[in-house]
Amino acid sequence: MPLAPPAIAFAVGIALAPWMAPRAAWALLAAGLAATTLVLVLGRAAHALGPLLAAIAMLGALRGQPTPLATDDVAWLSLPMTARVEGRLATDPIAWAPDRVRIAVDVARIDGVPRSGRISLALYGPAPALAEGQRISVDARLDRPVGFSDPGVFDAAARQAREGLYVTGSAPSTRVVPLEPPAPPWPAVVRRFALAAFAERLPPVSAGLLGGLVLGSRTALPPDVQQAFRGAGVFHVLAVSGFNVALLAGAVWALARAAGGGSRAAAVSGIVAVLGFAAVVGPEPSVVRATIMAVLVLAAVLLDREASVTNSLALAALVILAARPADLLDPGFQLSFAATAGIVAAPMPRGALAATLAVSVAAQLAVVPVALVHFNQLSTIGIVANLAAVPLAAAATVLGLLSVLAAAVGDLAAAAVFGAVWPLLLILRAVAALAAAVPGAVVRLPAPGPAAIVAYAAALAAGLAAWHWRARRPRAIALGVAAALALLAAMLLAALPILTRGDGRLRVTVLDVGQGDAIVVEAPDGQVVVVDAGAGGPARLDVGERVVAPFLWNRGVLGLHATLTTHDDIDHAGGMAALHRLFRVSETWDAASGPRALGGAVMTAIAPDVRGGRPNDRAIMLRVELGLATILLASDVETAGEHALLAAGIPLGATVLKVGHHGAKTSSTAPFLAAVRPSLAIVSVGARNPYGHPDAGTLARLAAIGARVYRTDRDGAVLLETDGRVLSVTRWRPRIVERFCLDPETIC
Amino acid sequence: MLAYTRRQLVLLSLVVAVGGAGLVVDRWRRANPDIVAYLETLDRAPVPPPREPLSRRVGPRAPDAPPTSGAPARPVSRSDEARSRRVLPDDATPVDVNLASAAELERLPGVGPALAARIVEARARDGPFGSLDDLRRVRGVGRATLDRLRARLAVTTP
Repeated sequence: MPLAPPAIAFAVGIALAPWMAPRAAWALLAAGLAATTLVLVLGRAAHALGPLLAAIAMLGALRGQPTPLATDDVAWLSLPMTARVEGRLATDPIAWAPDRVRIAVDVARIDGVPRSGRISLALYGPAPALAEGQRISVDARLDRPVGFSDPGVFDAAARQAREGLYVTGSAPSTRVVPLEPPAPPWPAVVRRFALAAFAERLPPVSAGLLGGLVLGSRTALPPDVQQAFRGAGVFHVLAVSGFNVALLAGAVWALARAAGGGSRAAAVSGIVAVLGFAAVVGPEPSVVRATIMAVLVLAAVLLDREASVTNSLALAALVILAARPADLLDPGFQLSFAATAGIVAAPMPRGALAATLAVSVAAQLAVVPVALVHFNQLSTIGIVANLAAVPLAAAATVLGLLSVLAAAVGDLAAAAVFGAVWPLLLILRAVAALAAAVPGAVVRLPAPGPAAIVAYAAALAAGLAAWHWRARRPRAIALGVAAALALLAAMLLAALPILTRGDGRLRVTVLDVGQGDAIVVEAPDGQVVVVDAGAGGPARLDVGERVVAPFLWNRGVLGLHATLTTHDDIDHAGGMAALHRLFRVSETWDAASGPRALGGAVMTAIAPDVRGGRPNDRAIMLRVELGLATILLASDVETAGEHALLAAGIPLGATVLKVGHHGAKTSSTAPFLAAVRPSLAIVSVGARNPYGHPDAGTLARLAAIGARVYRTDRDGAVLLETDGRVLSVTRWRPRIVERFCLDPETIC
Repeated sequence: MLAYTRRQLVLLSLVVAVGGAGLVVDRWRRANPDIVAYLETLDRAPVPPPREPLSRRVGPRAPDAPPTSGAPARPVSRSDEARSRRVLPDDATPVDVNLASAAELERLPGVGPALAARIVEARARDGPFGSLDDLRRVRGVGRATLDRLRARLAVTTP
């Protein structure tokens, strides 16, 4: 019985869930079932499939509805608050930076009152010795997760909400009080033993790589090495996936058969090994998928049945989505299923080399839309790099699995296995580094829309069909032409944001980057200037890489005309290095840059002439003018700088003011505001920042001169768009658009 | 001999070959640590991140040898610590406010455990300090404190 159609229907239903009222879904489910029954009773079985699949889709829509929260769930707490959290660790602590550990606590009590739900806590300070399942108590500051609300940018808070995580918190690690000694469950013990053995017997980077290959644990792998694997298009070997599970099942099968076991014994040992492995590495969607498929295939051997790979893939999807519907939007789920479906569907040629190449090509083609949507990334070198990397990674993974056993057996065995695996790891790293160094190894593109993805899927399907019917010439040719046309349509649709740049409008976007500034100026001719790029650098979230770059890619911006770093504070300059790494930048502006005309807009750098004082006062402002619209980006300039500008008699009048220094008390003095006379003011500020920005007095001064104030902490990104006569402002979080007429003489 | 199938022989020889090669590599690895270290750096970014070695040096996981003071490796009592503060030479390596642990900061004159914890907490919550003046955002660090400590402090900003 084919399971793929119901699985797809179920997934479609989950995807539709946000737009379906539960009552409508129930009604449609009943209608679908009734129609199915009616058609079956009337004896037209062939027509029953449609309504049946519709009914299954409605089941998906119902499953996709958010689960109602228990009345004692931590989500109902009035936040922010400081509280004593008591509960069990849901997983082993995850170290994500030096002196930074993240733990997930299944809550039992808050301040002594019984509560349920889960809280994610960031601990700072020396890593505490904690283990999965341990009961702890910790005094923590609790709050709602904060994400960045920007167009085309990943919102961490939205993702956590999908996963049922509504409360986060932070505490110094010294405040964690274990209520019982750590007694990690056996999978966590095995995991730790394996990682410790790797770290003990291999140089650090190689140990980190083996941890990634075998267990998907990348915390010990330096970011630059991870970046090389990404650039080479072979990052998937660093995640536990069906690849590991298949290797393990295959290795155990081969060993059991070689040891003289029958196929049934081999199948049973394979199932045991696979289930044990899944328990150790944890329930990632890709692991669950591969485990279900492997168990089904091996069970088919056990029962002397023909195994259907397509059906086991579909069943795995049904099981995962029924248990965790939110996984549908998870990149890991999508990559895993897309790649496997591609491999299953693709025709396999004979011969080991040809088959390896076909597997690589099929998987790469199938994941193209997923990689573009989530990572704006198209690996051109991946198909070639995988030819070398996959066999190496396979050998290293098998040896790595073996090394865990060897480390438990004794010194000699461990020396032999680790000695054998180390050269493989070095060669794998070399392959990744070389492939990533090829110019054009990774192409960054805007995320394709649904229409482009559908067209691309149609092209792949038509291509497969053409191959299938290759014996019947006319039909195959027709399908081939259809595939080519669909591919062309997909490429045109996907390239639309790039092709439509430069529509004669000036756009200035003050991005929501938390506490900090990142402003993108798009000139009427489509050229782009980035003014500051938010916080960044190692050991913290790099806003340049995670927010500004995806925003630009999704806007169809592939190169920058110029960047301007207004001053060196980390919340302005931190993300700039990443932008220069990821984009071709023609010019770097500074205080000495004269006025520039870009597509009719004039941009002028204004630098206060202040001796001594605070660095903020020497920050560079940028004035952007088009027609009647003037936008003044005031960076972090404070009182002394504002006075200097006024004393120098520099014209400051502007329609829109990006308020200086995140709305601090020491900026936007009354004389300065009187000179600027902004109608609109934008404060770029982080929610719950410790500086108390924006200052109430500053907001009052802005109100006093009649400026309408927007704030990135509440409004998300603020997008300005103007043709020089009409200015429209979009607040991204609530998606509210306002239009302002700049010419008082006319009606717009 | 006849007890083995061809397949078993292939598998066995594979195991022996891999194990033997592994042992050879292992011996070589032990004998040539310098070459091993060199090979390990080949694919790394040309400039190693400056944070890593420093934070490892002053980090809490290696508290036994803080570079900024001649503090003994044995656990220090509070009076010990006070004494070691007094004998610190003025040209001691500056403490990096973005990298130092709370214990490190506590060694500074006039910085107690509470203030050190607040500095570390502010740093963890809101990110590294952009400048020394940025330390003022920590409750309890005023102009006077900052001026007193200025010579002993450093800021690494990426």
